[in-house]
Amino acid sequence: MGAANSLAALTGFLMTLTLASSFIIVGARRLGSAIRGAVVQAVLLAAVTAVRGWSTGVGEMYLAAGLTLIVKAGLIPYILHKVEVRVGSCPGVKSYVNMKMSFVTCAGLIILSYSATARLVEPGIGVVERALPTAVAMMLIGLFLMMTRKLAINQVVGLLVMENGIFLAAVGATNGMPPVVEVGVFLDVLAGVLIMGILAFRINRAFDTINTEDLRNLRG
Amino acid sequence: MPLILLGLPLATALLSVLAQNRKTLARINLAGSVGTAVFALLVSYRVFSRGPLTGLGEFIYVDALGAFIIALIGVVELAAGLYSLGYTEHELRAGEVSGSRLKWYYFWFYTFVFTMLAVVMSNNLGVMWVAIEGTTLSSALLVGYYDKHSSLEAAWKYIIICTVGIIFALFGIILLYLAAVAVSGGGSAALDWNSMIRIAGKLNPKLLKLAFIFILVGYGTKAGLAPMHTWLPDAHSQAPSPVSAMLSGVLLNCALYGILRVHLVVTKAVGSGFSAGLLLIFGLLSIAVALPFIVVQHDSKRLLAYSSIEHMGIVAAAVGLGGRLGLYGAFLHMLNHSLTKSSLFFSAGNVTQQYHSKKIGKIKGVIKTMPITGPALLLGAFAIAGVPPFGIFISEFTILSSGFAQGKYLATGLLLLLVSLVFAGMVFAMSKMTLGSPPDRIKAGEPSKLSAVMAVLPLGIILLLGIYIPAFVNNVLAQVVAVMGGGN
Repeated sequence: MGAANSLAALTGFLMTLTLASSFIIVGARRLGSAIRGAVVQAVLLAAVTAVRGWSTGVGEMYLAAGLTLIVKAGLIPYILHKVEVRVGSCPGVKSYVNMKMSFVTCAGLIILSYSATARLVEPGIGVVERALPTAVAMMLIGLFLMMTRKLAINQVVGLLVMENGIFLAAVGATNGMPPVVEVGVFLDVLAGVLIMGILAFRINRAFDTINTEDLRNLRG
Repeated sequence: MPLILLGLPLATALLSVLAQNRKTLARINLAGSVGTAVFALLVSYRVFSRGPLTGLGEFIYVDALGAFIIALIGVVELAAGLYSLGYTEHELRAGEVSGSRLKWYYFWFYTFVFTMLAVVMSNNLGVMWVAIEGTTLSSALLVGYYDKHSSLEAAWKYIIICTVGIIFALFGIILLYLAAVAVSGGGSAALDWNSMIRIAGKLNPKLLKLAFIFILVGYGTKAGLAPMHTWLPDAHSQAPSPVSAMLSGVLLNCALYGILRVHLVVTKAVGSGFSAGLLLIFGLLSIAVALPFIVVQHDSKRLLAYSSIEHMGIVAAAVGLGGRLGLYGAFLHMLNHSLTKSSLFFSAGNVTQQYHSKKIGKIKGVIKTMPITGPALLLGAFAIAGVPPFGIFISEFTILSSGFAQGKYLATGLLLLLVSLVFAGMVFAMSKMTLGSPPDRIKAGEPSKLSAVMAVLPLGIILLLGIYIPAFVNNVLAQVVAVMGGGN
């Protein structure tokens, strides 16, 4: 019983760390540091998944943890880095909301998600209780990043934070999605980032920048 | 047979990349589009004559509702594939795109067809999600095919907005899974639609309602329901015309299909009012939002895109209104819209190639310059607006009369009002383009014979459906309505 309790506590702690790592991305002043933040988050997410696999005895969780490491901490940052190198440096955060307000808003989003999910799950089921608000908070922070960041690659990183939130919900609230679905989702995320990378590269070729502020000619 | 149907477009996509010259590429495309259409119709025929089909363990499940959409995909994919032959040839001659890009066009085209078929055929709701996201990814580069500023902007908005939307849907799927696991235990079968509908009555209603909201927002983004529709006019107008036809004609239906599957589970679990009510509200809102943009539109293809938002709104609202007759009308409307909109996008593509512009103000007298496309465009406009001899009139009439018969006067009256206002805007814009005298610089003629014929062909079917609905279509629709529960 003691071991199970401490495992649950460890899972909870790692989940909180995963959520906290979003702030590395929120506070990133350069593309490179945002991408590094995404790697940190992916590694933490893999750790959460592995610990969940250990505590539930569901072997497929290890597969999910491995895939998270390979895809989200390896391949995707590599693709984003490639795009970053090819489009050259874009100094500054390029955000519609300044850094201070971004932090305040994201903190508010976390409080909001805790209060919103509190009524949804019955208290006392341990990990689920902690997973849902953490996951929803990460989704909202990712969404916030996507809406406020101007550079195409930063928007993709925001998307990854959202997706990580979903993944956390699946890992924490259920014992992971069925493996077929899990692998399919990973494929989608990978292909998605690849295609977004291609598009960002083409946008840079046509507009000489990946600042999406310039992408607003289609109206009405 | 279902495996061949999934394999064919995939094989065609791969072969297209390997093709050495344009002639081979055209032949591969011809074989691929005809083959896929034949197998799509065979699979649906099999389902309509002998009942639901499962395959690949329990991964594939096709009932009447799925078979109906598969048939639509087959028909529109064939039309768009054939139309592509003439269309891309003309674009190459006009120097719009380089020849080396053509094989990638066909690669993504058939990958796109594959993902849409996968959406409709997958039993597991998680796999269906993967396939729906796949449709976005495979069509994003088609939207950005022209590599111009406007098409890249459209493609970026498309992939970002739809991916965000669909991530919400994934959260909804996880909530569904959470609800299902509590009843049936884990395993991949828990997300299978056919097992979920069996245990629907025991699922946690609070979770189901929340899941439906997330899925409606997520897939609704892809289905073009307002207020998540903002990417649609950009993407549908910037894509090459054959792709626009597939986006409007079938992709929107596939996304709506995803919503309907969950709607059925939720309806069985918590009663009819909740999800049907939401569909009705989002449907009416979509029509209302599309209306002003249709009335003041300057761009011919954006006009058609907003009209797609309107028609998806009509289908969603009709499903929301429910009733046996209303559902019959809803799916008849889906069929009518697919074919009419394909024809219209083909016509608009021909006009754009001839006039070198999509601007409604710069296009005049199409009837005089283009002997086949001109009348097709005008008739298509009447058809999409819902003028009597065409099928859309019948389906709209059915939906409205069913709504009034059920005593839902307010919603149905609103629907009637909105549809008539859109009618006026649509016919006005289209007659500005088709009638009058053409500018001097425009040569008379069609981009190619094939392009002209493809604009007329779907319209013929719609005319037929307006005058007389054959017994087998009637039977097919009755079976689809039976899957939908016949009435709420």
